[in-house]
Amino acid sequence: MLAGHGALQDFVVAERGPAGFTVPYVQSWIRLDDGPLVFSIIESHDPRSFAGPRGAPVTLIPATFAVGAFIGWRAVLDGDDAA
Amino acid sequence: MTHARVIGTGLHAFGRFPDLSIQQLARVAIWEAIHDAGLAGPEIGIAYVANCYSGFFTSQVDAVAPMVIGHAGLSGMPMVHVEGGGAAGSVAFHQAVLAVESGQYRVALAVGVEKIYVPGQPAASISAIATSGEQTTATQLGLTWVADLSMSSRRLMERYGWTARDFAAVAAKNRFHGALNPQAEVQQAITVDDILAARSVAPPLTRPMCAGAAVDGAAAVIVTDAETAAKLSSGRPSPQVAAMGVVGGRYVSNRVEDDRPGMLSMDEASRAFGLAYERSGVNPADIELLQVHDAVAPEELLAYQVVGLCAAGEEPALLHAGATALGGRVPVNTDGGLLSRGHPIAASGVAQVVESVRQMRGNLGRRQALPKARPPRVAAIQNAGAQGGPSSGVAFSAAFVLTT
Repeated sequence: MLAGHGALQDFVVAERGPAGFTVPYVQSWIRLDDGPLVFSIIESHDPRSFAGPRGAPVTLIPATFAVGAFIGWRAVLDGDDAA
Repeated sequence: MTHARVIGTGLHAFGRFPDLSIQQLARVAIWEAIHDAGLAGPEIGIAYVANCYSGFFTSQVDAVAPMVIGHAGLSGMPMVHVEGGGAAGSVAFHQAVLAVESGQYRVALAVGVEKIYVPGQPAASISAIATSGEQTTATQLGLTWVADLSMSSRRLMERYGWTARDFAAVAAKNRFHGALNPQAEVQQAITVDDILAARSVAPPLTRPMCAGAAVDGAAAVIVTDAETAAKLSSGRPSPQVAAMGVVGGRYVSNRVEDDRPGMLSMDEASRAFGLAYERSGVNPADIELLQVHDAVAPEELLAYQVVGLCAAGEEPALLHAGATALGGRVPVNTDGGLLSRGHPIAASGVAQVVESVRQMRGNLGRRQALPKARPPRVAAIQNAGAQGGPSSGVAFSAAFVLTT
């Protein structure tokens, strides 16, 4: 089981995405507190203005995606109410 | 061991061809290559067909090779389908060269063909390309190649002091080359300022700094042994494959150490070129022509360093001095590269070989590279593709050295 909490290592506001994703959205790499680096979308009210910063604490939240029955996660900056 | 030689090249123009099938695209490239080689077709001992997304778009997951080869009217030889993302074409070429150099086959065909453009559905093309990475991360969690490359690009800017203007200059150079190539996807030159002002894809990358995701096309080459090449060449240069260096990365889903820029690190390409130089006896200073995998503009700058054209950090100076443009010391991506010639994924690696061979023969008119007032005699190719998982290395990183 992963910690579910970590720090924002890298992010970018993507203006294009695969089928089923509403653009723009924030793509990120998150360094979990227990070590692994994972990819996650960052939930944000205003993705185009998302500015991090790098190193900001984030929490992963369980999410079910529309594509099949895949269960993964999304992330929010700690203190943000975007979840 | 005798070195294999490339005696035939063929292309179907790159672009958007919604009314053509992969079989139709490939047939054009295959027969141009056969005729270019001076062959009739039945001499082909084995055929390798690179294709990545036929399964995604048409459910034709298997039997791609017999569909493509059979539609071209060829029969009787083993037909092998290979994949490998952006390197798929290099996988096919690598296999064709190995087949000839093993002594088992006198003539081998390598063809790369792809259809990615879907009218009115740009996201479908992105979804297709995402299948060249780990599915749970790409299609389902939402990671895109270009976004990951943009994050890597920003790390490189911090590490080397590169700027978005440097990336734009790469794209402008390749668009200038592509404007001279009647088979390129994009044939319009563009200024650095217009590239910087273009629509953002994922900062710092604007649209002209990224290879298009929705491109169709096909490329083919005929490989043979020295004896057959000598019979058929009629005095024309038949470049030999002086060396191949091919390596893979490693699959690490949850990489602990913080050594990204990940996909753009090109660690594997350095190892591949080390092998190719060692096996060929060629040195970086000998290279007179180079084709690199510029899926995004920063990759070309990194390739200068990896191939050994200059020291780390000096890439923009090399570029701005014009050394890597037509007319320069070592022209790079003379057909426009992925950014301008286009990147129909499985066709790209074969197209790099096609361009190298045509330049070495020396009849490309305004697009002809003449680095030493004659056609290039030593050409190198860098290609890579198929990401195993997030922040892991590539599956197939290739360095080819051709000489005449």
